[in-house]
Amino acid sequence: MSKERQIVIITSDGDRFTVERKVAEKSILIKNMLKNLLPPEGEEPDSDEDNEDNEPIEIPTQNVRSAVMKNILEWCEHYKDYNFPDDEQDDDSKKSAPIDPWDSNFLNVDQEMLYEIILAANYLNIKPLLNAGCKVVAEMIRGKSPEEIRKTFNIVNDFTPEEEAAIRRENEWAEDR
Amino acid sequence: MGHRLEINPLITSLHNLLSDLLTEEIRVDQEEICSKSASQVFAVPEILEIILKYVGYDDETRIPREQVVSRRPPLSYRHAVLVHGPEKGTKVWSRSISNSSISSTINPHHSYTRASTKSSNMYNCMLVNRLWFAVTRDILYENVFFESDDQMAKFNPTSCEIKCKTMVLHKLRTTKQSQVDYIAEHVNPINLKWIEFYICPRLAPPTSICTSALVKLSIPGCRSINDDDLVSIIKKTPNLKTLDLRACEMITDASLYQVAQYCKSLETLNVGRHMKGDLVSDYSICPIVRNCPIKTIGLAGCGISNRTIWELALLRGDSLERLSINHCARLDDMGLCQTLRRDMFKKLSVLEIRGLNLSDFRSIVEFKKRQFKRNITALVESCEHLEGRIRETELQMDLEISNRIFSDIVDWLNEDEDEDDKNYAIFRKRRSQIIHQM
Repeated sequence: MSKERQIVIITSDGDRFTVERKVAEKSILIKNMLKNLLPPEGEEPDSDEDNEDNEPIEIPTQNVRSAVMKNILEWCEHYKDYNFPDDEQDDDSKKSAPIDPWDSNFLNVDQEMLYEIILAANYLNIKPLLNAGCKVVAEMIRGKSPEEIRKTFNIVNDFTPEEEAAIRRENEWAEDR
Repeated sequence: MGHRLEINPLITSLHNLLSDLLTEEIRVDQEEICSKSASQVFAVPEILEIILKYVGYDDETRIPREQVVSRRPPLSYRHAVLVHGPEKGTKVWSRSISNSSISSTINPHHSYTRASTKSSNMYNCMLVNRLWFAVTRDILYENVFFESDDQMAKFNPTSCEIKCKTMVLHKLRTTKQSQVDYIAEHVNPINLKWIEFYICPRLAPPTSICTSALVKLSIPGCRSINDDDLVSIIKKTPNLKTLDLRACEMITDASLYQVAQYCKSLETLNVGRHMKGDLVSDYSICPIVRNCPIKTIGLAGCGISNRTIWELALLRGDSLERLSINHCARLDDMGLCQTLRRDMFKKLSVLEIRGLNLSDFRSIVEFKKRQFKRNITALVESCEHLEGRIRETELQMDLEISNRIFSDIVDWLNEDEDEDDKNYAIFRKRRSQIIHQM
């Protein structure tokens, strides 16, 4: 068995995380990068590249700071042996599924961290984590008035009063759906 | 001394002011970070779309649907007792009376319960800001449905495109065809899979929204659609799997024959009707049975003959799951009972035979027993007369079986005791061997 090359993820603030390949590959972004750099898992590397083998592969992630990456990697570690089904086709049926208890507990962080996890999951292309995070935010939105939503999430109302009135008028059909 | 007294409060107030400013600054700082990534999350349309889809996850459950009944209501008190037994039968019968049309006109909401309660979550999301409005509207447009004329009248799809997956109109009475056509002009039907106009007698689906994406077309109770309209629709829908034309009285063999030519994926067809049943016959149904992988077929009140039943048995016997042939006046034992006797419907689990002119009840009872052995609980839905005769036959067959068992036992008891003697001989031999060994 040849030794696998180390994978090191470098965060925006310069921290280095050494991770197992299958943990890192929960991120489709990193998985695709590694596809170009490494032989497929289980295959022997070419013998004439032996001298390169011990050099770790460094993956810089400029958009993710260390505290967030620590959480992301905890999530990846937890799910490293779990294969998520391809949900591109039939995501409608899964919409109503309750959030996984482990995820729910994992995402029980302050709002700021939650947003950063969502953004990082989007950037690193970790769909199941992105979905779980969005589900948590969706729960925060349900039952709130437009004004309360803006307040909770610091969203600027960019409607002109005329626009807002027009939207209310034109979308009455959706009001009590 | 006086000075000091004056300066001290000044210093403390200054100090307070300073610390206020400091904490204020920190607070502002935090808010800024927060608003920064929050605004980032809510500014990426892809992320916002996922979030808002989860907010509206139960939107689809609000699509009005026909209530699914596991059993049809009984036709009389005696029928209820026959089917459900004396105690439960009385309850079922009184419930079905209270749900009858008389009381439901007094209290129209009595029998109709919503799958889930209304909510204005999505409407509220629309009003947050421009991006939220655009994303939310697209999500809402995925399922276009109206269950009142009022709601329909409020709908005004100005200039934007409606890329819906579902379009359901439920029991609309006064809405005009022109209103439906106007909405259809704004629909991009590329994803439209399910069109349902449920008991909207005056409304027919516009041809323009029917494409190869369409899987389910359900227009029960549509009185305005004729053969030409249906043909122009089905010519465009080769992937149709479900076609529900119950009580569409203007539909005849002429267009149904074309269904067999164009919709070769059809699995479910319902053309049941109370009136003008003669207009649907073997002439169109047999080609459909031949060309389409039919699993469910509803032919109640149609003018089909035993030939359709035989074609179904020979060609679709291994896949047919539900068959409704209530009140088909031209059917008799030669079709259904003969095919049942030959065990030709191996997967059939629902068989509706109300008002049929049958006399071979043994074939039906045997069918039920056979399906039970295959782990299929066959539901045979019939009327008072047939139910009574089926029960009689069942009893009679049970009696025959117990008689046979009884006679077997008697035979055995009166048999020559040859075999017992032999056993006794073996027994004695072995015992003597054992004694000998001792």
